[in-house]
This record gives sequence, C-alpha cells and structure tokens, in this order.
Amino acid sequence: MRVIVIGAGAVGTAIAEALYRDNDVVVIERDPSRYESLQSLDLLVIEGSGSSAATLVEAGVQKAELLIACTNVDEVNIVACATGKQLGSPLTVARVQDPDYLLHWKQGYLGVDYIVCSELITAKAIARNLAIPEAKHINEFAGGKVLMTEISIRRGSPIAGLAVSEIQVPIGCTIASLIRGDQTIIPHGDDVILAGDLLVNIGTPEAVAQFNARLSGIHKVRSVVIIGGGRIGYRLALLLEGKGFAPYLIEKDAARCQWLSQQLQHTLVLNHDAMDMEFLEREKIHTVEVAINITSTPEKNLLSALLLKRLGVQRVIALVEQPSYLKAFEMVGVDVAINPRKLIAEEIIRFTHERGTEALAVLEENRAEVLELQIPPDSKVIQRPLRERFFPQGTIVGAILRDQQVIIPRGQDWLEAGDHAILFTAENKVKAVEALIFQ
Amino acid sequence: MKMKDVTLVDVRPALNLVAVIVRWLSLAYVFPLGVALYHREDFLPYAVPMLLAAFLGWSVERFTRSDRELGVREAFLVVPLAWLVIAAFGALPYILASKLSFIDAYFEAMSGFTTTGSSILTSISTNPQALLFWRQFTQWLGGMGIIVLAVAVLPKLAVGGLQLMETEAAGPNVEKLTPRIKHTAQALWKVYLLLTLAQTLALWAAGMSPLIALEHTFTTLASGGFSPFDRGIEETTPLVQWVIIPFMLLGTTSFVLMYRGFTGNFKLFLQDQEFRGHLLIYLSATALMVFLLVPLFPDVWDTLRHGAFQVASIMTTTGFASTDFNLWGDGAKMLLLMLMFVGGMAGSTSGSIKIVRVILIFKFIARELRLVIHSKAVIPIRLGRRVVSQDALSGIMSFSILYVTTFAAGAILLLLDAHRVGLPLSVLEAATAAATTLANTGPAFGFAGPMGSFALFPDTSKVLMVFLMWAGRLELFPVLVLLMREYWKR
Repeated sequence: MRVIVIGAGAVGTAIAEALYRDNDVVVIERDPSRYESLQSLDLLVIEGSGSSAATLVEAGVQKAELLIACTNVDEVNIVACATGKQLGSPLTVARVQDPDYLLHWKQGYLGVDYIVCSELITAKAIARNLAIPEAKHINEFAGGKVLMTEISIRRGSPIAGLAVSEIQVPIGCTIASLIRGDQTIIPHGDDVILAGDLLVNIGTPEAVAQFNARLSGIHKVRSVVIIGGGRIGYRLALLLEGKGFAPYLIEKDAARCQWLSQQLQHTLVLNHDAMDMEFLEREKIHTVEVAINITSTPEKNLLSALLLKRLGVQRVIALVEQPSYLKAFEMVGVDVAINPRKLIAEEIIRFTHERGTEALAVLEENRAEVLELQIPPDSKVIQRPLRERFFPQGTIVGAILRDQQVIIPRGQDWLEAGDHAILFTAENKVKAVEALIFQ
Repeated sequence: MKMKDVTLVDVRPALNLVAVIVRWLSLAYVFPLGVALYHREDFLPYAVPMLLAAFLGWSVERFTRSDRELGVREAFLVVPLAWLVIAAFGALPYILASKLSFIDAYFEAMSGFTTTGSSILTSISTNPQALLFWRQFTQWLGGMGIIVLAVAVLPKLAVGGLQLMETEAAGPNVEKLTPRIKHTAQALWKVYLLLTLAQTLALWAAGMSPLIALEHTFTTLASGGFSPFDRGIEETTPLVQWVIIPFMLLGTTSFVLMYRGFTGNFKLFLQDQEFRGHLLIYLSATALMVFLLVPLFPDVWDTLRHGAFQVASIMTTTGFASTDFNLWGDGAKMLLLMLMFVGGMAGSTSGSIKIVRVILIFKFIARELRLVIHSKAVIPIRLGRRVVSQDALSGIMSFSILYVTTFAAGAILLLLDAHRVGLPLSVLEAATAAATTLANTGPAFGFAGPMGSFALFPDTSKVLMVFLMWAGRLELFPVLVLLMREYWKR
C-alpha cells in the first residue's frame, strides 16, 4: 500500500525504514539536510511542507492508504492529517507532543484517525517499568487488561535451571516464549530455562506483577529520582504523581525549574547539576531505589546513570535516542535502556497492519512480534480447539480477552468471534497469521 | 503640599471625580431625612448637608471640568482624597444634630465609613433616631466601598474603574467577574443588597422591629459594629445574636466567591483555600475561646454563644459585643487581640491583614524551612491550584511588615500623647486602641472597651486614630504613596 510519512526527523526516519520493504513509502520533508540518509532507500522523498495540499497531492494522497504525520510541530501534523483526509481517504496518524491534543482527540475533535503522543508513550513505558522492576520491557494490550513482560533471567535467578513444568506460574499468566540467542522457543513442559534467556510472560497485570516479584524479590518501588526535566521528564513526573509517588526531579535550567515546579504539585524540583557529588550527598540520593536519567544527551544519561549506580542506587534507567546504543548501555551496567524512537515507531507501525490488528509489539530487534487482533465473525479459526495447531509453526495464542475477561488459553480452549486475541509469533509469520484469521 | 509645587500630578481631573462622587453622596441623606420626618425630629441636620454636598459637588465639578482624562498617577489621589472628603460631609449631621465638636464628629464619621465602629459618643440612645440611622447607614455604604458603588453607577468611571477599585478593595487584588468592571461592581452590590435583605428579614423574624433590624444589618454585613443601643448587641436576645453570627462571617466572605457560589455551584466554597482557612481559623479560635470562657459562665449555651459571637465579631473586624469582654480573663483578651490581626477574606467588607495574606505568610515560612533542607529546590507557593507570583508574595510580605510597624508606631504615639496630657493609659489600652482602629474593628480594651468610649482621648490622639482608620481601610499603600515626595515632584 501507499504510505505517506511527513517529517524525516528521528521518528519519521525510523518509520520509513521499517515500512519501505513492504510498502510504497513517500516521505515529505522541508529540510534537504534531513532526508539525505533516506535517499539510499527504495522510497520517494518529496521536498515541501506536509501541511500544504499541493505537496500532499504530489505525494499521491488520493491513492494513499496511510498518512503518518510525525514532524516536530503538532499543529503541522494535525493540519496535514485533516487536509489529507479531505483530499483522499487515508487512515491518518498524527504524532503530537502536547498531550492536550490527545485529550481533544479523545473527545472526538481534530478529525484525525489516531493521535500518538511520543512523550507520553515514553513516559508511560518508564512508569510501567517502575511498577514491574524485573522486566526489561513491558507492553500493554487490550487497554491495559493484558500485560506482556520480557524478563532476562540472570545468573542465580530462582528459576534458572528449572524445567517449565517445575515452575509454578501464577494463575492468570503464562510463559509465552523463551528467546535464547537467535532462537525463539515456544516452551513445552520439559524445556529448561537457562541463565541469559529472555523470558516472555503474558497475563493479567496482577499475575504478571506477582510472577515478577517472585523472580526479583523486589517489591513496590517507593523513592524515585528523575534526572532531566524535559518534556518526558515532566510527563513522567506527572504520571508518577498520579500513582502516588512524590519523586525528586533534578534539572539544570533555572527557568525550566520554575515552570516545572509550578506545574507539578507533589514533585520536589531541584535546580542543580545532577553530577555534583556534594549536591548528591547532601540530598542523600544514594538511598533512592530507582534513578531515571532522561536528559537530552545520551552520554550524560549514561554517565549519571553509572554514577548513581556506583553511589548505591538500586536500579538505574537511562534514555537513549540511538537504537544502536541500546545494547551498549545495558552491557556497561544500565539496568534498563529506553529508546523513545523504538517506542513511537512500534506504536505507529501497528497502524500499518490489517485493520483488525490493534496493537503490536516487537521483541528483540524484530525477531518476534506480538499482535492483538479482534477475531471477525466469519473467521476460519473460530471454535477450533487450539491443540489442533492450525496456526503457522512458532505461533502461540498468549491470551484471550472475551467479554472483558482475560483467559489464558490451554489446548482445549478455542477462539470465538469478537474475541481479542493476543498472539505471539515470529516476525516472518505475521502476514500468514493475519491472512489466516481475516480471510 | 503646596499646589504651585505640583508638577507631576494633574489635580483637576482628580478633584473633578471627587466632586462627582460628593454630588452623588447628597442622595444618601435622603434616608436619614426620611427617618427624621417619620420620627418627627429636626430634619435640617440632613437637609443642609444634602444641599451643601449637591451644591459644592456641582460647583467644584464645573470649576474643575477639563477634557483631560484621569491618568494612572491621578487615580492614586482620587480614592484617599474621596474618603477624606466624604468623611467630612458625613460628619456634618453629628455637628448639626448633636452639637459634637468637629474633631469628634469627624472621628465618628470616619469610624462609620471605614466600618471601624469605634465611637466617641458616651451615651448613644440620647441622640436623635435619624442621626443614629445615619451612623449605621455610613457603615453600610463604606462596607462595600464608595468607589465600588461609584464604579457601579457612574458612567464616567468606566476607564480607570479597575485601578480605582483596586485602591479601595480589601485584599491583594480585584478579581473581575465580567469583562466590564462596571458590571463586576454591579454584581458585587447585588450580592450585598441580597444579603442585606436576607439578614433584615431574619432579624425581623427573630423579633426585632424592621427598622432596628435594618440598622443592625447595615453594620453586620459591613463588618462595622455600630449599634443604636447603649450597650450594643448585649441588649438583644440570644436568638438575635445567633442570627448575627453567620451574617458577620458572610460579610467577610469574598463577594466574588459568593457571586460565583450562589449563581453556580456551592462546591466552589469548599474548593477555595482562603474560604477553608477562614472557616478553620474561626472554628478553632471559637473552640479555644469557649474553653477559656468555661469558668466565666455557668450556662453551657451562654458560653458557646459568647465564645462564637465574640470570636466572629473581632475576627471579622465587626466589633459587636454580646457582653462586656473587657471583664474577661487575660487569655481570652489575648486571643481577641490576636484575632484583630487576622480579619476576613480578601474582596469582602473586612478590615485587617486578611486570611489570604495570613495563609501566604505561613506558606512562605514553610518554604524557607524546606529550603534549608533542600538548598537547591525550586518550590512555588500555591493558593489552591494557582501559583502565587514572587512579586505578589513580596507585596504581601512588605504589606504585613508595614502593617505591624504602623500598629506599633500608632500605639507608641498614643502612649506619648497620653503622657503629654496626663491621661492614664495602659500599654494594653494603647495597643488595642491602635490595633482596633487600624484593623477597622471598633472596640479596644479598658476605657475604650466595648461598653466604653474613645471620648477620653485627647484631640491629637483622635486625629491619629482617624489617620489609622483611613490608612487601614485603604490598606496603607495608597495613603503612604501620597506622602512620598516622588509622587508629586521629580
């Protein structure tokens, strides 16, 4: 299908790179210096403003099925989507930074099909991570009723060396897969879990949290310090306040601190350099359980994360803009590295799947994907017990949401029309699975 | 300040506006005039000032007519000047009807318009009924504010109206209810009139005669404190006193808040931090007072009533007395003296420092303490959800310091003046006399107590207290600005 991507910044580039293989991608960008890297790819770049009707027509908006507006300017994105909608009939997705627009959109204004707020997505991902500390990544499905977590099994973990059948997994969740090196294993009872594995756990939030708490021995986090009061830092503090935390927020810029302190009611805003040891000692930062480093420079995030870890902070989270640095960060000692581009791209790429596909997560660099789909009434998969194994190999139904109830299916269970199914599959099987269900 | 020195202040338009207000003030004499005719008393003490105000107002207005508009600098002059002039006209009936000296009459009139309630009269009921009505009525006019009334009715004031109202209003700033300041002023007066009607009916139902009920309503809602009775509220029934308590508190509730609350949803009251503070301070002070009064009264209901009434009366700067609290113990008196420095909400008829400033002062101190622990923290001060700007805070801090300084200076000057003429004046008497006039409360302790009179003070002290009432009513700054050389000359 034809996909128009407006804005070739960090997010736009990531989306274009993820989509150009299977789709006709047209990128609209005003600044020539920004689309240079894209020109080596098999896609079309048009220089111009995405909010101009003429440019959109030139990009073939009448034929387009999807229009993704992800420039840095919220208003441009919204206008581009609204204009595109009137010129043709693409599904429109706008990226916004100001969450007020998200609110307006939820109330039915703006005339955009989907609004994706990158700062909010990143902040939410970090906040979820605080709730379930052992998990590397957490994805929400069915509006938060189903959680999927990725847990790396460390040496000395209570379940390392045990067979899957020996682990008492809490009722309400299941081990959906094990990722070992390049291999993705759909586990059976006699598969053994090894240190270094990445374990994927799907289930209700309570059960997942219970399972994670058993693995880590860490219980609810209480004290949090946020370093960097940018847009994500602000959103995160706001989210944490809503969950009953009273975080510390350290920010260097005095004017920004003024603004932050006025907006945040229960956060203590500290205006100082987060790498001044005397200051850190005075505020007794080493007693904090989790430190979240989200300044605008990844090097600073890395340095302050490692410093705080050395001082005695239990867990450090750092933001990293370049996806390629993710591994390096975690290798040198950052407990969780968060990449907003990956998060936003994931969020937007889910709209490129069939209309019934509602949510999608990518595990471990595109080796496995998780889909959330609604089963259509005439689907071939209805009422066939899952033990018949009619799905492509390596596919597993992780959870079913039926009438707001979460079911963790066993072999004798089956799918009904209208169910929301959360499927776990290899990356190259996504199309096949979607074809089977929607035909 | 000699007129020929004036270079920066264009006095003409300021005088012109004051003259307009005086001309309209002549209408106010209609009411005591009516009472005089009804009681078959001499009506000249009201008819003469009425004609004089109309004539002087009209002629000065003509004499100072110019096409120059009232500037920002001139507006500072209008409000304090208007209050001085109006008090002078308000003093005329006292001179004509009861043969008071000019200073005594001016003191009584200033005490009336500023809703103070301190009196130099030694016997009240011997005065003509119409004069006593006038005395009550001046408090009602001054309570909501003469300028607010002028903005509400005069077409001319539309331009500088907001600034004029801010000079007069109680509290740090004026909150506009409507795009046009005139409509805001009208809305405030509507609330005032409705409350007046409600309380008059309530007092009437509680057994007062309609006219007496109206006269007490005037001084309750205005947080004034005058009464036409010799022993004030003590002469009324317990039921009447219970009715007066909530109306004293309503009179010192923000009128903007009441307008919004009564026309919209009642939740606004509880959401308002100043309103909550108002209730909290009142209830806890009442509880403490009742505890202190237990040994004084044999009856529980009397204890409750006097405690609840007197705390409301002093805290709201009304100054009514349900009993002679001069005879109470030192603890109770100390509590009353402290309450004189609290007052009601901003934007009400209350005098004194006001709840909003008291709350912010405490929050300011709390922030200083937190900054000792977290030296790099940025902590804003909030009132409800709104953040109070640093400028507003420093304004409030300097007002509060100025207020206390003025009080102390006033008390010392009263002591010196008493010493000069050989008047025995205790420190408590001097301190409470200064505090009560500055806060526009009314009674002091000692000979100027609730059942006493300020008549014993020498004339110089009376002039000083007139100044304190005037400056206190206008919240010091507008008055002190006029004393700055820089205001007049470069």
